[in-house]
Amino acid sequence: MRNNNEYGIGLKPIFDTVIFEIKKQRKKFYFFLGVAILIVFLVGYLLQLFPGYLLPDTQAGYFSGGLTFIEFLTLFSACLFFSGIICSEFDKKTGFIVFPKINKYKLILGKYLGNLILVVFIMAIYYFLLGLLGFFYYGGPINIRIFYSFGFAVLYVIALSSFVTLFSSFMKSVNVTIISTLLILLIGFTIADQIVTLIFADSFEPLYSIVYLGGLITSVLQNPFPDPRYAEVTMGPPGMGGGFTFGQWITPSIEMGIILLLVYIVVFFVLAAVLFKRRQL
Amino acid sequence: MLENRKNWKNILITLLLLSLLGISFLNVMSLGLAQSNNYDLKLTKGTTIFSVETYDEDAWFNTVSNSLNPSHWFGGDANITGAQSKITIKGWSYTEWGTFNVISSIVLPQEQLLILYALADYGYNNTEINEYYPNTYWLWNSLQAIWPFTSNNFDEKPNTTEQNIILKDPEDYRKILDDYNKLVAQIKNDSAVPLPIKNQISNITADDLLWKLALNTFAAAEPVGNYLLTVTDALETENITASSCSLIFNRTGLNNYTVEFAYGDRGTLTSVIVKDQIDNTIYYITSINSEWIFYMILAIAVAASIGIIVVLTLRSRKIKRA
Repeated sequence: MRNNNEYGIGLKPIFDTVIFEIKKQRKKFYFFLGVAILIVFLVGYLLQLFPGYLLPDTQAGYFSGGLTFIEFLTLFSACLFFSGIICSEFDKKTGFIVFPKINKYKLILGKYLGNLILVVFIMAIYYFLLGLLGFFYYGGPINIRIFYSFGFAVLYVIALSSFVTLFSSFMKSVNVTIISTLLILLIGFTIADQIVTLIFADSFEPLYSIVYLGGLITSVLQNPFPDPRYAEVTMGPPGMGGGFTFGQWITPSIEMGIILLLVYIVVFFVLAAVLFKRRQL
Repeated sequence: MLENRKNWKNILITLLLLSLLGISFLNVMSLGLAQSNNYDLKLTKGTTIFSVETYDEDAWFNTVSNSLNPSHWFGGDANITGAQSKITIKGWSYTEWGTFNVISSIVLPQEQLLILYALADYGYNNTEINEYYPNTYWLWNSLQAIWPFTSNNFDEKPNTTEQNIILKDPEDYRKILDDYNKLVAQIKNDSAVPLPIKNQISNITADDLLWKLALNTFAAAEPVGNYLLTVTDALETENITASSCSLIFNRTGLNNYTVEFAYGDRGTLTSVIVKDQIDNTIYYITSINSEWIFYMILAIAVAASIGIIVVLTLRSRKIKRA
C-alpha cells in the first residue's frame, strides 16, 4: 500500500507537469491543428472538386497523396513544440528557485510527454480526417496500411523530438534551437543526401538522415513496397543538355527504418540526458 | 428644392429597380431557353459497389437463355448471388470529339477495334473518317476504375481503368448511329477493302447500340429522366422504353422478359432488374454508396468536438467564478 502511494506521489508531479504543459502550449496546438485540418481539406477534398484532377486508382494511393505534407507538418511541429523543453529552463533560470517542488528530470519528462501528446494528437486528427475522406471516396474497409503509416509517423515524431531535445539540451535559447534544428532538418539533411547520392550513387544509402527515414511514412502505403529502392531517372533525349541521368534513393527498407529510428531515439535521448546532467540548472 | 431632390431620388431608385428586374427576367428567360436542350453533368467522384441480390438460376435458364448466364452480360462472378463489383469514378473532362473517336469508343465493341485500325490502310484512318463524316460531338469523358464481380474480397488494384462517354446532347446518339451505318455501307461497297475485313463489320440497330451501352456503364446527364427519354426518342428504339429514370429493354430469349436499368440522380447506374413475363424477378443487382456513412461519422465527430468544447468552456467558467 505504501509502495503504491509512493509510486503515486512519484508520478503525480510528472502528471501535473504534463497537464500544465498541455495548457501552456494550447495556442501553438490550436494553430497546428488548424494547419493540419486545412492541409487535409485542401489536398484531400478541395483538389478533388476539380474534375480534371484524377482520383488515384486505390485508397492507398489517395492516402499517399494526402500525406505529402505530413513530413513537413511533423518536422515543423517537432521543432516548435520540443525546442524549449530544456533550454527554456536555463533561459528563464528556473534553477534559482529556492524551494524546488519537482525533480528536474521529472520536470523535463513531464514537459516532453505533454508536448508529445499534443503533436501525436494533431497527427491523429490529420490521419482521421484523411481516413474519413478515403472512406468517402472509396468506401470501406479502410486500407490497413494507413495504420502502419501512422505508426511510422509517430516513430518519426519521437525521433525528431529526440533530435530537437538534444539540441535543446546544449543551446542557450529557444529561438536559436528552433532555427538551427529547422535548418539542419529541412536543408542540411536534404543537401547532404543529394551530395552523398551524387558521389556514391547506389553504393551508399543515406541511412544517417532522419529526413530520409521519414520517407517510410508514405512509402509503406505502396503495394508492392518499392523494389529496387534506388532509381535512376534520365531527363530528355541524349545530347545538347539532354540525357542527364540522376539517381535517387526512394525509401529505406521497413526493418532498417524501424531499427535506425529506434537507435536514433535512444542515442539522442541518452546524449540529451548526459548533457542536461552536466549542465547546471 | 428639397422636393426636387426627393423626386430625382425616387426616379433613380425606380430606374435601378426596373433595370435589376429586367436583368433578372432576361436571366430567367435565357435559363429557360437553354434548359430546353441543355443537360448538365451531375457526376461526382467516388465509389459505387454493386451487389447481386437475387439470381434465380432455373428461371434464368427457362426464360433468358440456357447457354448464357449473367456473367456473360456483366462479367466476372455475376452469376453468383452475393458477388460484388466496384466502380470508382476518378474524374472527367468536357471535350469535343470527331466521328472516328466516337465510333471507336461508343459503337464498336472492344474486339472489333483492331478492324477499325486495319481499315486505316484502305483509306479509313482517323483523319479520313472524320473528313467523310464531319460531325463533331461535345461530351464528358469520364475515367473510371473497375473491379469486376467477385464473390471474394476485392483486389486492392482495379482490373481495368476505362473511359465512359456521356454525350452532352442525347440526340447525338442518332447522328453517331447513322454515321456508323453509313460508314459500314461505304466500306462494304469499297472494292479496295478485302472481303475478310468487310465480313467482320456489320450494321448495328438502335436497340443493339443502346443494349451495348447499357451493359457498359452507360450514364446520363441531368435531368436524367429527360435525357433517357430523348435518347430513346432520337434513336427510335423499338423494344426499349424510358420510364422516369430507367431504361426498360423488352427482350425475347426462350420466353419474353424485361431488363430494367435504373439510373440515380447523378445519372449513373443504380440497379438492374431482370423480370420474366409474369413480373417475377429473375435477377437483381443493387448498388450501395457509402457516402451516408461518411456524413454520419462526420456528424458524430463534429457533435463530439462541439460537446467537448462546450464542456471545457463551462468547466473553465465555473473554475473562474469559484
